[in-house]
Formats: sequence, structure tokens, C-alpha cells
Amino acid sequence: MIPVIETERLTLRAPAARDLDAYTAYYTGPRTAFVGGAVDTAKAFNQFGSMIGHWHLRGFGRFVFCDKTDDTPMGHAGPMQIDLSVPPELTWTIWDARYERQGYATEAARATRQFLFDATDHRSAIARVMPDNTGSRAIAEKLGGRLDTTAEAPAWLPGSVTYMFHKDEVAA
Amino acid sequence: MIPVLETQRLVLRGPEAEDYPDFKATFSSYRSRFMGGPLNKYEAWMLYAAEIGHWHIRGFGMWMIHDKDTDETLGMAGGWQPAGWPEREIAWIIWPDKAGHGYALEATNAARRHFYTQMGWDSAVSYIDPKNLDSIRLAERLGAVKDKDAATIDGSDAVYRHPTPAQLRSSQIADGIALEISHYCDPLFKPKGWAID
Repeated sequence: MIPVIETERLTLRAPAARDLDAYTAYYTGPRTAFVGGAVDTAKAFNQFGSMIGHWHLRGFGRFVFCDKTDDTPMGHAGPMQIDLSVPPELTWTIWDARYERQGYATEAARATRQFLFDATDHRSAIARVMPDNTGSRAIAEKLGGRLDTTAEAPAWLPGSVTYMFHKDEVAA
Repeated sequence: MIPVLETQRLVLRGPEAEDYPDFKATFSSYRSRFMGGPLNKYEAWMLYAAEIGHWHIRGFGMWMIHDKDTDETLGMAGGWQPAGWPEREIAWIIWPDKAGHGYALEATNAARRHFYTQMGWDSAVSYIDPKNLDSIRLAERLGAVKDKDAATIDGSDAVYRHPTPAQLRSSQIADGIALEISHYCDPLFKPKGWAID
């Protein structure tokens, strides 16, 4: 039930058990500074499981994006929505520094934003980014996000800024 | 992909979106104090999603227990082994207002039988807080015994080791469980003593 999306260089597919080690290495390591900090292995397992469960509960969710040629997982990207009173949140994360600065996160995030607007009834989305996370802010802007200065930061990411995305405004 | 199990009074199915409010009610309550709770709204939703994800990562997981006649949910039972669990666990939780009818016994017995006969498990444990007397009682009714030598999750839990498939076959444990369940299924049966799961 979880679709597969192909982009120029990436395959976006369902999170699978074989990704757990790479995800855990990311989530227990220093790369989580902008998303609430490193956690222990047990928490990482539950977070990974909830990424899969989200698809079943909401009908959409986050993909693992992989090198198209060899299925190496590089990160995850996609919409998530826990609180139904807030639009789905677009997320994108690179798991390992060696995949940075090559446009992979942008490529994955763009495909999942389009997936949300094409495959579901949602017409708007948000993204939460820490103000000093310049890399992610640049991606949000490339994807057609507008800074929403009136939005409040959620309890799980205090101090973050919010970008708004509207289906009618973003170019495919 | 999640199998459906039927017992005399119960149907065990994978957790679904429509069952979430029942899960949330118990996991935001004091009832969940031995299962990592009480949880806030965000934590409860993430754990529920993780219960589903566990099936996909491990190939087994926790079922939602439904009343066969009314379809209402009564609790959860099944297998659980997130990162950090030394062995595969058999776990259960019954909603607070559904305790005392033997549902956990009936559901957990069916889950264990499924793991043993359909999935090839040859052992299982339950990690139980030493203060969780209802669950210790249930572990014992299922034939599990405290294993003082087994590795714990974090030192604060006691390990109850379930009888192996061979031990279940060669003893009267399974007959005792079936007899107790048959009592609970009898509409005239009134359990004595404190409410147990």
C-alpha cells in the first residue's frame, strides 16, 4: 500500500526492517541537533516503527529515499500528521553526512510534497525548521514555502520557525 | 499481513485507526504505569503507530483484542521486542474497565499458541514490573515462572519465563488454562477474590 516514487537519482519507498540500522545510527548520533537531539536505541526503534505505522493510520507518511542504483538508504522524507487540527508537516532528513550537499534532500522533499498534494486531499502543508538550520530553510524556500511569522513553535521543537506550503502556489 | 486469531469469546486483529481512541484512553491513564505510561497525546499516538510498525519490522507484534459479539476493544496482547529487549516478550494490557473477565488470559494464551505453533518460537518471556501484581498473577496462570538468571531490560523488571512448547505438551498447564478460560466463558461463573486480568 505504500507507493514507490522514482526521481532522477532516487527511489522513495516504504521504510523497511533493513533500514533500521542506518536509521538508528542517524537517530542516536549528532545529526539530530536540529530535530530535538539524539535518543537511545530503544527510542529510535519506536520512532522508526511509528514511521511505518503512520502510513496505516493516516494513509500517507514518510518515505525512505535511496540511491536508485543500489537501494542504499540515505535518509527519510515525507509528510506526517499527528495532530489533525494542524496541516501535514513536510519533513526531510539526511542520515549520513556523506550524502549532504548534493541536492538529495531537496530532490526527495520535492517529490514527497508533490505526492501529498497529488495523492491526498490535502491542499496545504507546513514545515518546522530551527532558525539556524540554514540548509533546511533553503530547501523549504526552494519548495515554495512561505515563512509564517504568526505560527507558534510546537512544544516538541521550541524556537522553530514555520513555513507554509499551498498546493495552488507551489510549482510542480 | 497481520493474522486474525479467534478464541471462544475474542477476535484478535491488527491495530486499526478506529481503535486508537481506546488505546489512547488507557495509555494516558494510570493503568499504563507499568507499560511506560501515562503518555501525553503525542507520545500515545507515536507508540500506537509503533505498535503497527513493530509487525513490519519484526514480523510479529501486538493484536487488538475485540469482543467477538460486540466488536468493542478490550485491550491488547501479543509479542513485543523493540530494541533493547533481550528476548522476545509475550505482553498484554487490558483496558481498566474490562479487567476481571479473563480476557487477558484467553487472548495471551491464543497469542502464545500462535507464536509456538505457527511461527516456530521455542521460548518466550514476559518482562514485568515487580509491583504489577495482576500481571505477575497472569504470568503464573499461563505457567510462566520467574527466571532470576535471565537478562532484564534495565534491571527494574522481573523476567517470567513461559513454558516451552514441549513443556506445554507434556504437562497439565494447557489443560489448566483451558479449564480456567471455560469457567470465564460460563455466564454463571462469578470469580472470587480480586479482579484479575
